[in-house]
Amino acid sequence: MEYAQVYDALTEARQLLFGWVRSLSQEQYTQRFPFGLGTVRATLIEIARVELLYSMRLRDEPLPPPPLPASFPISETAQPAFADLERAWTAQAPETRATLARTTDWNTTLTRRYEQGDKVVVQTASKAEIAVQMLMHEVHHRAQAMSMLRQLGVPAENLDYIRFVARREEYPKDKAPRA
Amino acid sequence: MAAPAIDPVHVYDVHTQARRRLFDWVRPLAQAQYIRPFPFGLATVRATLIEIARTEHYLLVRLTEQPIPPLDDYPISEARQPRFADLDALWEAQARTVRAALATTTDWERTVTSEGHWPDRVVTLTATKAAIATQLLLHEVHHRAQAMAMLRLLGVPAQTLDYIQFVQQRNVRMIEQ
Repeated sequence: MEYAQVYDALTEARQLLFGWVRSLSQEQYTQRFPFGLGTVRATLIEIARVELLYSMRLRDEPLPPPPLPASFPISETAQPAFADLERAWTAQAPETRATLARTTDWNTTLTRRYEQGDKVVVQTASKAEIAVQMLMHEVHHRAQAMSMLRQLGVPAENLDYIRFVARREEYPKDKAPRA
Repeated sequence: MAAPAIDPVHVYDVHTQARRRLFDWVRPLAQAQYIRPFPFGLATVRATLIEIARTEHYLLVRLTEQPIPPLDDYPISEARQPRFADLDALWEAQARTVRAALATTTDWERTVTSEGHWPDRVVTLTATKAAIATQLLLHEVHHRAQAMAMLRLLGVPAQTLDYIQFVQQRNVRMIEQ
């Protein structure tokens, strides 16, 4: 149960998701739904930009305070069409994977300090907690994107982790090998 | 064998905390709301929660190398737990068993083959215990997101069960003038 291995399965699943999204018109890509982040575009942008945010945090790089500014590399302004986001995310994924693969000090805690109005906010979490959040965050929002795709008539289904890492074999009843 | 980098017990504990919050949103629903169909996912809050709990049980069986029971013998189903209160009571007990199984497992790289029996065929599924546990944890997140979307459509302000909010320390202080 290594972080990079789980990320690999998410990356494989993401290719299937991208295949579904690629078939959408821009109008469908930005069609509004009354749950989650409202559109397929906003949902995918959210996953990609939070992935970047957490991988930067894992690398202990400086981060802008929330809400993320329009100048952040992933945004609806920077990637208005899905092709733009696919290109940016495909370039980003190897760096995210490398960050997870080379991290060994998972119990090291990282502190993020930022000013928000008249307050100072200090967030502290271990690298392990940040990496788990990054992986879970994608699964959560991917489910929302799939719900939207289903309503757009795209048969988006079954991106279960296990299908990318398990072996499945089927036999007729009378030809099954003995376990 | 080395412990996995991702601590499944710790992640499951956070899931359990988040699940209690989810349950607090579901508990006030009328039965008609609990089974109201939506055009995505497993269509109802009930079917979605049953799916999470039933799959958790199924993966527990695989993780602990027990035989997969026939579908009709499954302890969790919409017929057996028609109301949320039925599921709520059962899940508390199951969660303790799941946690104990995750906490006592050490051979995470051991490959487990399970057989599912259908009237006309046999399906064998082979995966490491680490993969089974990871599936157990991610499957809940996926379907929980669908349940939350349905709750929002039912007018329940279900929001942010992000893992990080249960584990991250957050301190806020006023800037001195």
